[in-house]
Amino acid sequence: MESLKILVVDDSLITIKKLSAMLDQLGHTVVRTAGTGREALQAYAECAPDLVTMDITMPDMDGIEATRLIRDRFPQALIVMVTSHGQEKMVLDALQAGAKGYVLKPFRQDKLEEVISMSLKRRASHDTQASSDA
Amino acid sequence: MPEKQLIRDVVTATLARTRSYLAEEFGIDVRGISRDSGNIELLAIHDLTAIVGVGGPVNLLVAFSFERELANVLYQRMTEGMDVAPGEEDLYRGSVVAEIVNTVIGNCTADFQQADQRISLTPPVVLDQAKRIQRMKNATFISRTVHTDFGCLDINLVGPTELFDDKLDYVD
Repeated sequence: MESLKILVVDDSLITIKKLSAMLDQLGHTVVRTAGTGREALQAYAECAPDLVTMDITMPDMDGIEATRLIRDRFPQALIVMVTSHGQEKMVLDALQAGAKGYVLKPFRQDKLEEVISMSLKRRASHDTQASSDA
Repeated sequence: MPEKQLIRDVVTATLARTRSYLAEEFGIDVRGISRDSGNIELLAIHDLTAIVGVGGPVNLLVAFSFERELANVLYQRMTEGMDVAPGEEDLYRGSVVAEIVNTVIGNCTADFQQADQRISLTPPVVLDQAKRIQRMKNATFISRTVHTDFGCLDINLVGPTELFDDKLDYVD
């Protein structure tokens, strides 16, 4: 898998630390972290990451709303939810907001790798489809 | 679904998910679960407690209150191999207990979900001092104690949420 620049969005210090270590082991670089949805919007605009991992429950603005707003401004944004929310409705809302994958906490490195890889493939096939439609 | 049945489902799901999470993530077996007999009029909170609010049809605050030894073991196991700067141990200990309640209750939303109604959660709030909460007549208090070899975890469900702030104090 190619090495990605990643923005990690989560209000949990321990999750940011764990997730960053795993992403590092997978060969990616965490270029920025954010603790709220609102911070995520600003961080995305400033660092233009290849991928965002997004929590749902956060102060200020939740991850689903932040995903929607980031995708409105940056339609190419690749966002994967990393969250403890297991409710089906929440998963659907996140995907409708534009997330390309969903990792349920507590997460494992192999699952994280699989979802990132699948999200990249989904975006690639979407891009191919879009260019053939044009 | 009737309110009492929903609350029973929340308690059952929370205990089951807590048991499996402690075993799978920390290698800690639950030795037993006990409950106070009769109506609970007073909740005693240990000096390290993480609270989340569960919205939607559930409308309860869930407080995971840890005995110190258990909190220390959980902290040590979750931060194993991580660099924690000197002086930041308490910050990380708080983050660990917050992550535990967030993960358990977040996962539980799959168990007590109801058709098309979003079950929202609030970000966890950590209390680092013991306190006692007297029940007011229209409040619901449910408490279970999870026993492990390293100490106890009290799981308290308190509601309705409108009566309390995020630190379990009554709202005037």
